[in-house]
Amino acid sequence: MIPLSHAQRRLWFLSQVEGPSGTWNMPFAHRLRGPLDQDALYAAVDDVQRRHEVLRTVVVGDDEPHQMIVAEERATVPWDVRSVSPEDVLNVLGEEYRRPFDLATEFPIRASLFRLGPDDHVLLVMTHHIACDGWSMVPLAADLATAYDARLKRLAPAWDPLPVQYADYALWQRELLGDAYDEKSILARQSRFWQQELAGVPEAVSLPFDRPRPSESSRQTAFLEIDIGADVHRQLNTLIRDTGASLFMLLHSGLVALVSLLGGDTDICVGAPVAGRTDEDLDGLIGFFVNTLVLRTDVSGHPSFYQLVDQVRQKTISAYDHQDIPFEYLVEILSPQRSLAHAPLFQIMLILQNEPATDMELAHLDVEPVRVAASAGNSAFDLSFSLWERRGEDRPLGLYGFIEYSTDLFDRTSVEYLAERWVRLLDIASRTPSLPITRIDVRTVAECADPVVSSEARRRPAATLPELFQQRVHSSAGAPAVVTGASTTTYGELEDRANRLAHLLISRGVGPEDVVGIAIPRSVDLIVAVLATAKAGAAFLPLDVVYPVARIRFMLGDARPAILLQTQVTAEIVDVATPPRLTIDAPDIVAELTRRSAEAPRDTDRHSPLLPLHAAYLTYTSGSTGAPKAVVTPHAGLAPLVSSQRARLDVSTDSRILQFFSPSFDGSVWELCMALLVGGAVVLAEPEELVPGPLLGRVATAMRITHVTLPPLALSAIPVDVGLPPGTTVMLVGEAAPPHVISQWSGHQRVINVYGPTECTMIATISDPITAGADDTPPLGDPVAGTQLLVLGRGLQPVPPGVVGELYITGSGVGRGYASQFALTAQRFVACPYGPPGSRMYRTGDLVRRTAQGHLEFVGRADQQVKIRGYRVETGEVEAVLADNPAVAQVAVVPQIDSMGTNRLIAYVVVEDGAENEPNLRDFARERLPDYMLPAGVVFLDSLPTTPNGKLDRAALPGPTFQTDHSGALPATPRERILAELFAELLGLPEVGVRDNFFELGGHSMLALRLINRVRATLGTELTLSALFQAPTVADLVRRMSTDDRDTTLDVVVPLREGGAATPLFCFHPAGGLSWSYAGLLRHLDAAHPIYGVQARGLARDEPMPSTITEMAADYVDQLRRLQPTGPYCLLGWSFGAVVAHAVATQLQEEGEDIALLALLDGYPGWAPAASGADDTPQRLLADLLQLFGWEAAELDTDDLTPATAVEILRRRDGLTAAIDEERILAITRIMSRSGALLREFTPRTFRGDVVVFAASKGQPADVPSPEAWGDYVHGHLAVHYLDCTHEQMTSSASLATVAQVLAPRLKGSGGCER
Amino acid sequence: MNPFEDPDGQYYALVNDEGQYSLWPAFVDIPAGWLVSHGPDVRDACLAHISEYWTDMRPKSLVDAMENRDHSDPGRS
Repeated sequence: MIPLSHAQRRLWFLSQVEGPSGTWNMPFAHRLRGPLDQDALYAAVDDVQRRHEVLRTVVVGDDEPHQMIVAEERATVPWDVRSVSPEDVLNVLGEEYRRPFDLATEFPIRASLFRLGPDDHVLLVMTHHIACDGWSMVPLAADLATAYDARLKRLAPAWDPLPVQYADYALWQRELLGDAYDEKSILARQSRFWQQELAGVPEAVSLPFDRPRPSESSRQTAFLEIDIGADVHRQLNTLIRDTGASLFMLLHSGLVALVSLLGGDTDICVGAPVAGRTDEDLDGLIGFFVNTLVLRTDVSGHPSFYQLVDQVRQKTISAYDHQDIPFEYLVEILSPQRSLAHAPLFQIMLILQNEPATDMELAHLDVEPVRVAASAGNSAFDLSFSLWERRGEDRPLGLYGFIEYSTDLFDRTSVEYLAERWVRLLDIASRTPSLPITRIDVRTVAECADPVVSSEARRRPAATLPELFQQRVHSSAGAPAVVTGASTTTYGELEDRANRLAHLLISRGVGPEDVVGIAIPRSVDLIVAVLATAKAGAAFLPLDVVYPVARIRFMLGDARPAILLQTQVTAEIVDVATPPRLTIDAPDIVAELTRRSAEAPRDTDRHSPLLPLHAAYLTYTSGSTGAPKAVVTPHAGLAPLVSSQRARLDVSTDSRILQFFSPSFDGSVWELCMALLVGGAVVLAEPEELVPGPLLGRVATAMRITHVTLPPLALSAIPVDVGLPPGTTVMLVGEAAPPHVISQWSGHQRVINVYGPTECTMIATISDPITAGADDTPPLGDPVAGTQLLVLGRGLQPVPPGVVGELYITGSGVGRGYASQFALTAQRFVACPYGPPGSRMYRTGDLVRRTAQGHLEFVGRADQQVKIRGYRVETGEVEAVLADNPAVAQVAVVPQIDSMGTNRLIAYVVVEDGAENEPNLRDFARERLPDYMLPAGVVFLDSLPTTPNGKLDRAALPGPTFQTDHSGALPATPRERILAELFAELLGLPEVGVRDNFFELGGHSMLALRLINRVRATLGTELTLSALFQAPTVADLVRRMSTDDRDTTLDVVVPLREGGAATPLFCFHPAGGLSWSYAGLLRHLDAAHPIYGVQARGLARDEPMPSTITEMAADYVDQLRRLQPTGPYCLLGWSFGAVVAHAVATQLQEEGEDIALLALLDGYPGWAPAASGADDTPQRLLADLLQLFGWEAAELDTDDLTPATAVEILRRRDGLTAAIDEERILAITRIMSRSGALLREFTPRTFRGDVVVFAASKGQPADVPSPEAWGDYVHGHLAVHYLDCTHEQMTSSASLATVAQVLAPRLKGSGGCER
Repeated sequence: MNPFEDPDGQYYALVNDEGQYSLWPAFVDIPAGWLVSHGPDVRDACLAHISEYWTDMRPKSLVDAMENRDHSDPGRS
């Protein structure tokens, strides 16, 4: 038996997996013009097949395929001969190209002759790759020509027999490579080399694709011609002499450099074919010899082209030394992440064609090759570069060829750019091979002509904040400057107050370069303090009094303000010894202010003249090393910013600007400048009115806001039907706005994106009004006046459009630096190579891309900075704070996207050896960090997972489990359960304990508003935000909500939800007597329907219990009628409760009432499931009881159960506290036992009407009746729904959700009722 | 990796005529208007040099103006 060669075997396997396709077809097509002897041609093709065994070989066998060679005399090539119009011939060739071979029954060769006209034909010889390769075309052409020549003369071709056949090669290859299990075999040795060489290769290459990679490649490709000019060819030839590298190696080095520059990868694999004909005996043979080598290059660091070529040369040589292993075998042994999305190991192929020309000469015919592939390409690769050298008299004349590209990923234009950049890179690299490749500017000539730096030509004279404000006071002293709900302050009044305070500050020694701390919440006082500080010449530092005292103390110690301005209220909150404090509303200060001059301070009044380069204000931002850092912003950037606000945001003296941001955030400075430096009014609202939600929209409308700046999340929290005043300019800041938010708002508002780091005077770019479609990423916008943007690669070279680079900002907005942090400043505020000499640029760390349309798009962060609710947070700072806890050995803080699509922080912590308990890190952090920096979850690990090079392995971190209360109390009562489910739903957590704090689990004010809405919709209870702040746990909320209510949890009728006007739903207890388990229905049924649980007698107190189910039903009918005197009634019951509900329904019918709905949940006449007292030993009953609370039977040691241990178990895990005690447990076991007995004795009567039955479909015991058992007791339609759950899981959230879904329309149809 | 963040890279400490310092990767040409104050050297050494020699973050033209009020008016053009 002749085996397949390794390559054939792999190909056979692939074609089996793929099914019939033309993937591996290899066309050999020629246009034949002139007198054709068809018979000679047919005979010649047969001659070629007879000569090459491989062309008359079929592959047989299922598991282990082998070659079966068909004898010469029995082999003939199938022909397809027909007339085709010249226009159709390419299509017909394409069809033929896609027609599969069946390797088991067909020869891997077939031929077609298309007659285009007299003496005009196209010959297509189609082979399968399993029998052919690119180099095989040479013997194919030669042998065909020889045979045709002979057959014209009616002779057999007189050729020398081939020295070997392909089958010999296959056997020889097996012999040569040896056994994989023999360590010394070539196969084993070369396998080891490749395993080492290709360990950990990237799964797929990154490039600026036009479309994301589909999960399954369509393999569709297209072709683009490429030409490399003679100049570059000559330069490359010079480099060949200098380096000893081959032309292929130079082209390869250039390609790798290009891929790295465009895609950002530094570990790049490229495939290259080798002929595989390692013996000259093989040269004349048709067959599959070609092999593919994977060449892996490390482009990290900043190697020069010389260094890269040197690496590539060494890699290529050692790859050639190990070329005997077939690529297909390599894929098998390396088994990299297999994917249908891309080719394994490499996705870019580079071919420098050195096979001899395949020109075929047939006697009396003009023969011209026809390329079949061009119309319909088919390849698994992203990009294949095929090149030929053009040479004349040994002079380089350039290279030509084509790029075959995946149309899944690329548009033609992008590949044209790619080709142009490659040629440009080869040009630059071959002229300056010592230049680090990361320094190469691969922009095209046209792109370089665009200014790197786009700026507004006109430069405005720099001015200071007091000067800019002064201009407004002069032009509109009587105009409103600050508007609150209660009062309006004019520019003149504001000026008067600010001047007096400024003079007071100057008298206390405050002047330029001093810092004045301001601990005053949003108010006219705050604005007066800000203006007064600026007028005195000093820099203001706003301090948010809600920050932890430790953080405020840190800021005061770090910024060392000369004085701290406060009010009588904040004086109590920020109680510090230094700096000296000035309480601006204290009687003595108020008195002193009246004595001070109301004239604006002049330079002569100040301790030194105020200049535009003086610091205007300080803003603290998160710092990666553990402490926040103060950005110092000079006045100089304010005037250009304000001119842009005026020009591009339509701000005017009529504008009313809402002051939304906290004073400590520089967004508030942006708002104040927009109003007070242009002549509009600042509108101040109460803090609770600014919580994103409906109120914010209503307040904005009531206050006639014209401009508001918001984080996208805050905008999305305003219901669209509440809205904002029509025509409001809404500026989105802080993070990229989701497209749906923009499309929702851009119809009635002017939605504008603004972007900028604090380090560059608040805002660096402003977009045009966005009207984008739903899928577009909003553009960052164009630079504000005086500011220029640079998108640079890792060699600080400008990157082309479409390529991700880091954004650098330069111009007048660039701030001074980080106060007292010289080394940090020198790392971020760096020398600018593209601006005026000596200028600086700020390195934002934001990764951006310029689109083909010229828009700037935000892509991500280059570092660990994240935005939490629009605030900048360095995870390193949170890590450093947590690491200060003595019990913490190691910590990593990682952002994670929650169910609402927003960021939250998860802390992964390794505790010090010997630490007794897991530290309470949330409390620890809360004392040191503002709330937006608090981790939403803390996960304790034994060690942090690391990558092989010792870095944190983010992918290996477990998902967050939240640090729940140590008592682990889970919800038990209906209200607790419903609230806990709502908490969990909104927080995106699997479950929430009753003592877990909503805000500590990642809840924030916007989520809180959603919670309030959901509580209203579910429980029909109005909850306020302040109530939630004061009672942030499920347990607290329940307590708060039921302060007015008597504890009803053990009453016969327990209201699960009251207050609605529609028909109530009554839910009857299972055997245990409690009806709490129906709480899960609330979320899914309209709040208009009250829901009552009906519970067994004897739960709350000792009282007479019914002796039959009929008696029980009569009692319940009385109870129902108190709440709902007349029908129609809606009734539901689970398990034992189903039988009770049915009994109640029949009694009500007998009393003449209508039943609108009777729903029976997996309960059947006469059937008592295990948990309803089939075997009523006390232990058994307790175990059943615990099962009712969700315990698995296997978890329980049934024999030792006593009422006391049961209570203990329930308290420990399920948090049953108040309602259930030992006595109640005993009562429940009594009720359960009794229920079982009652059930066995009871025969239902007949219900006339439709019934809905929900049946469990999992884990049902053998004795359970079928749902149709109810048919004997129902005269009406029996609608049966099977649920994918067990009997016990019928009241799980998921099951009840399904039940509610079915019942909702029926309940709705039940109509209202008189109550 | 950003060229300013390579722990194994070679760097300069540059200074301009405003007395402002900048870390600078050694493989990139030095921009006009900047002089080498230290380096090439490892990153930490350049940063240490900057921390030692850069002691006043105010631009030199501002310092001059504050010390000599008759001097030019920095920032006004």
